Amino acid sequence: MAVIIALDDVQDATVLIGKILSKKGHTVHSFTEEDKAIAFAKENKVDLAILDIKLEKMSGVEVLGFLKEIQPTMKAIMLTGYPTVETAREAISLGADEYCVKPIDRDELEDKVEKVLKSRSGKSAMSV
Amino acid sequence: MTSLPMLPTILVDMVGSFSIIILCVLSLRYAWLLLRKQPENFLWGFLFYFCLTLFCFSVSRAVGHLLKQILLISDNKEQWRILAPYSGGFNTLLMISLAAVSIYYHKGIEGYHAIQKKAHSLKEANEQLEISGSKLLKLNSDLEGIVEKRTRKLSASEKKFRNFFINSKDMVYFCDSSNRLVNMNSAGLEMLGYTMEETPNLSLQDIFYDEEDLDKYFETLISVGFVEDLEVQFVKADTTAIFVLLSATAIFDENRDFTGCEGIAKDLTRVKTMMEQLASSEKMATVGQMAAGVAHEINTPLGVILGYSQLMMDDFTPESEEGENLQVIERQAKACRKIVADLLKFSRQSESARENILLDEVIEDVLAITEHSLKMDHINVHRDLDKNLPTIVGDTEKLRQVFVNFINNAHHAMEKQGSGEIYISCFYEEETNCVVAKVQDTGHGIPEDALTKIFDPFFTTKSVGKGTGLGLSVSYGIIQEHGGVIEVQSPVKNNDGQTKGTVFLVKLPVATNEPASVTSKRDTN
Repeated sequence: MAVIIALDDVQDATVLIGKILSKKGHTVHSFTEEDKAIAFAKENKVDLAILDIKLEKMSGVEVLGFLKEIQPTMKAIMLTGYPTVETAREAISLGADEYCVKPIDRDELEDKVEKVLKSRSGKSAMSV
Repeated sequence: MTSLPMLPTILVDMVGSFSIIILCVLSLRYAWLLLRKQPENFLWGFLFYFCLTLFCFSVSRAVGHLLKQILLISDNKEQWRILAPYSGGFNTLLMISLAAVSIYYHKGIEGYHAIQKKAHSLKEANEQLEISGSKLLKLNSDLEGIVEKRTRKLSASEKKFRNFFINSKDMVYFCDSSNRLVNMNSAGLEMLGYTMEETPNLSLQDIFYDEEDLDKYFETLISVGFVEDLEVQFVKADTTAIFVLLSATAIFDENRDFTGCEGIAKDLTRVKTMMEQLASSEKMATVGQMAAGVAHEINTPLGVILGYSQLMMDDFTPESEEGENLQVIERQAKACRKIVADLLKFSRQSESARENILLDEVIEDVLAITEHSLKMDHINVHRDLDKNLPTIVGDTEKLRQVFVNFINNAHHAMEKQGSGEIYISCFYEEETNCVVAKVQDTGHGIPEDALTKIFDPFFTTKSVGKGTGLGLSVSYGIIQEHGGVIEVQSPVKNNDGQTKGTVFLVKLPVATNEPASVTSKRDTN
């Protein structure tokens, strides 16, 4: 179905996202390091990025900026344990589609991913 | 005798004698006029008398000569011979009187000069006296001024210190050597609960609560000469104790003998409460900061636990033991999530909207969503909401949260007794210029030992999973942020004397006229 990358400084969290979304038939690549995620996006087509905001080296919002530069059509869901108005505003201005507060329910995650991916297919269908 | 050659001499003698008479009359008249003009002038006096005698002499002599010539011409030589010695004698007599007048006046002039001199020095002395007199007068009037000025200064200073003594909000007292309080200001009497009228006869022993304190007071006072910031307890008129901060100075006389002391005592009751409040708000702030830090850290692992338990549910049926266990994990993880969410709300009280709000509308909104579940437990809601309330400024969402917390607490307090009443009222209080909301229930009330802790974070009497212990502390923070106060009364005394239930009071200040629209836009997007 879709190619998704999940980036979180806690590996268990990325693996969990991978497991949940794999069950839905998506291909999920999990990363804990920002550089590797960005490098992957340079080589491969990515449909959706699920990004934590608090990371090791930079913030998830910055990573979003880089990824959007590489693949402007890529969709993005921000996930954070400590939401602030500033990061939300910034993420949305950079083109994030969703801004979710951790911990997210399995159902909620599945719904959000489905919704975001659908908006892509809708748009691409229209553009074709 | 040949009369012809003698004729010019005779003529000159006669004319001269005649002119002498005329001239001396004129001189005498002149001198007389001078004397008349300045009768007190000594010189003119002298001149007049001198002229007078000289006049007499001159007239006598001139008349003598004229007579002689007339007798000689008329050949009456014999008659002249008889008269001549009389004329000469008379002339001599007049000459003597002239000399006498001159001598007399010569001495008189000396006397006059002496008198003049005396008068002059007397005048000078008088002038000196006058100058010193005026100096003295000036000095005298200046002295009066100086004394007046000093007195004014002194009375101003006295007034200043008296005012300080009378108006001081702290106790000021003076004590004699036998420790009797000879003088205490009204603030001091008020602090101790005495009235001005019954000015009590007190000694230091009477107002010190603790004898050890008094011993310490005197020990320091005598050895050091003063006492600074001593925390002691005083006894009030009604025998209760108050905490005061005491500073005092010993008074010694010139022989270095102790004659008493003067002191100032500050009532610490207010400071103590303030310190407690400060400690409480500091605790709140610390919890807020800690909550923010903890939230992020806990949310990630919590998400993993929740996610894995939900993932594993795919592998088991809900009825199986494993399925049920997983449901417990999920439920508890969700309870944790709620705690963290509440903590986040608590820690982020600073970011809030500022809109113009009608409090009765907020309460109606809250009742609309809670009333249904209240009815399920047979709890009736009684509204008494003023529809003409002034607006307040704040965050609608946060204020709703406060009332949801109150109603939930009331609900939980009454659900076990099977039924109950909630009285909710909202009105304007003029003296504080506040909108007041009152939520009263008929539940079990709050135990006395819990009453001081209900606003503390994590304090709860509810069973695990039902309450996080953050509801009221979040509410407290929200109301404080809105510039309001939150009060609790429990248990409440009813009219029939029975005690039951709890009342929560919220007072929020009425919006001032300045427009809040500028700031209200900011947080709504």
